[in-house]
Amino acid sequence: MVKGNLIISILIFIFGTLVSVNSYFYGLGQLSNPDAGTFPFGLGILLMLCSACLFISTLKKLKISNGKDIAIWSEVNFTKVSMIIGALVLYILLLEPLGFLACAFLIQFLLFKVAGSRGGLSSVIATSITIAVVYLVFFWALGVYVPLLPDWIN
Amino acid sequence: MEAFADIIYGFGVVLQPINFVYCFIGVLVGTLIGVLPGIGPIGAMAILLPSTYHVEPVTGIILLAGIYYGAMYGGSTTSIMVNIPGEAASVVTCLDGYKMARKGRAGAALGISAIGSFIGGTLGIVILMFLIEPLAEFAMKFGPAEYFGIMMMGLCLVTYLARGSVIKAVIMALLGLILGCVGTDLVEGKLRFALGIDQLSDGVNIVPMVMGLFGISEVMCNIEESSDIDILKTKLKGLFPSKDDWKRSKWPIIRGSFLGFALGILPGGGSIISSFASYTLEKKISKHPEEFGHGAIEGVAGPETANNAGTSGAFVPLLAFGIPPNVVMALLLGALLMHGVTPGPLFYTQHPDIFWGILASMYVGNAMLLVLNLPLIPMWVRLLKVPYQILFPLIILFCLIGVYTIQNSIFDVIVMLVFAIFGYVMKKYEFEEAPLVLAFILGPMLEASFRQALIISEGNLMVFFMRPIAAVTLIAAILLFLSHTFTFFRMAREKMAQSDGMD
Repeated sequence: MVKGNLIISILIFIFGTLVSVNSYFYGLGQLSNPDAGTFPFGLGILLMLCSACLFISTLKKLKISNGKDIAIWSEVNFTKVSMIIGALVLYILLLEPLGFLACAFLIQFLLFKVAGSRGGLSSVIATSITIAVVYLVFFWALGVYVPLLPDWIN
Repeated sequence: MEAFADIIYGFGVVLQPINFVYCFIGVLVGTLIGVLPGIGPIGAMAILLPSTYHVEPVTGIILLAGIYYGAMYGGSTTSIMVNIPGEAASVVTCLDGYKMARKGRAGAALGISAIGSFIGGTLGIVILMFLIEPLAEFAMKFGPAEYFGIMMMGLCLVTYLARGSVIKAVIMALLGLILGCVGTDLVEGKLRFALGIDQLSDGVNIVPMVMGLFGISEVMCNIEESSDIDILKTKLKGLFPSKDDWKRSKWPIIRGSFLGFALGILPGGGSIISSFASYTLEKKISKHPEEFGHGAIEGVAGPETANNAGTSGAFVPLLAFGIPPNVVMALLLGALLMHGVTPGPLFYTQHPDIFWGILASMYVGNAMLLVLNLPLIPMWVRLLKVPYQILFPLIILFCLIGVYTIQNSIFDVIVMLVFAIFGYVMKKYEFEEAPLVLAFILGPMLEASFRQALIISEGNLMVFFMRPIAAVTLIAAILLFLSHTFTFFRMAREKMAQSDGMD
């Protein structure tokens, strides 16, 4: 984690620099009439300072711990996390072409598989019940709108 | 007397069928959210926020407020029965509540928790009712410099009270302020940091941000742990506390009510700080402090009362000043703004139906929660057996539906995904999300106040120190920040010295 903090502090420093530089081009104005760039310019500078402080304090911690670090990524289940992200990306890509009902069915089925469901039939049944309940609660009772069917059917 | 007439008017608003039903739905969903670990009230409120668009503002806020204080009730059930807090404010209840359950006194713990929560919530509402008018009149004296000072103090308090590293909390707050700059500048109308994306011209929407940070990223973290919840197998009997329980609990309940309310007003405070402070206080003044941590009923009564009183206190800065003291209130502010209602000093005169309707709904909601929580406790306990593997796909689906319905735009889903990944990575490196969200909400107001104050004073920076309220709040913010900075450097030097000594 300590080494990760070093990378994050560098990334934040770069981000702060970009914010300050861009803000300068929005105009800083004068103290009696600050322009649109004044506030974010100051924030960018502060961010650069804080990220530098984090970098220095992280280096000191690394020195104190004699290079020992806490491994935070070694026990992460990357498969499950990636599948959740993948499911969300699929939803973004397929919602409008397929419509909500088909898209949500597919995503839910995938997520139940991520959850560890082994039987195909049980996942299909669980997914069908979920979609039915969601339809009743959100679309019928609460009246929210999502394109249920694809555009080419509508 | 005027306050009584106003609250009766408020009851007239909340007892309309639609408001009554939404109040019930809110407290029921809130209790459910509080009972089930894995999603907190913020995620639930963000998911249900879009469903409030087609109802009146007062109805929507009643629903969302019900979720907030309902979650405080529900969180105690998992704390007592499973030793896992249902939400953050119930962490302290685990210490003695679970121990009481292990001794066969789960019923008394759950009972005193529900009753204490009711008393704390109700007393908090009574104090709120009488306090809000004088505070709103006081707030009328506020100008841009005063608002700037109060918001700066709020941001400093939020970072000061961060559970982890202060420098990381400050970084998150700065990132939140920068995110608040995205879109059209409020003063001059210039477009900033939109990256050529049309949907960013109005800025980043708070709902997909919060859903990503508190909903999806929480799921991604929780899915890594596959342990099943082990519920304590004990008979639930005697839900009403005994005479001795009452004798031991009555003063912690009274103290918890006032302490919780006062701390709830503070920015960054709310229920979590209230419950911790109450536990610490009760342990300090108890004649038998050695019993704390081993099933002392005072350790349940005080904190549970305080966390509910804290929810009422948190409404004070939002309704009187229009400044949200924590992320939940920030969401409520977002909901009010979406309905075209701006809370602040003129709120209760311009929108008395919404103002008194919300207050009256809190009375009604607290009564509903007492009825829901006492006899239905066995049902809530059974719900705990629902595996997380079934819950998390539902949470994700609800988030996907909720976020799309804001503007019927897939862009909001993309924003949610981006913040979900960002939130997940930041959680791993122990960066807290709350300072980012609060700063994001306060950022535009903070910038506008700052610029207006400088324009009015013709560039004189001393305007922030010449006006008494602004001076007091800014000096308090600076002292708070400096005190923690010095503590931080002192601790770092001590660690270095220890390391050199060991070498």
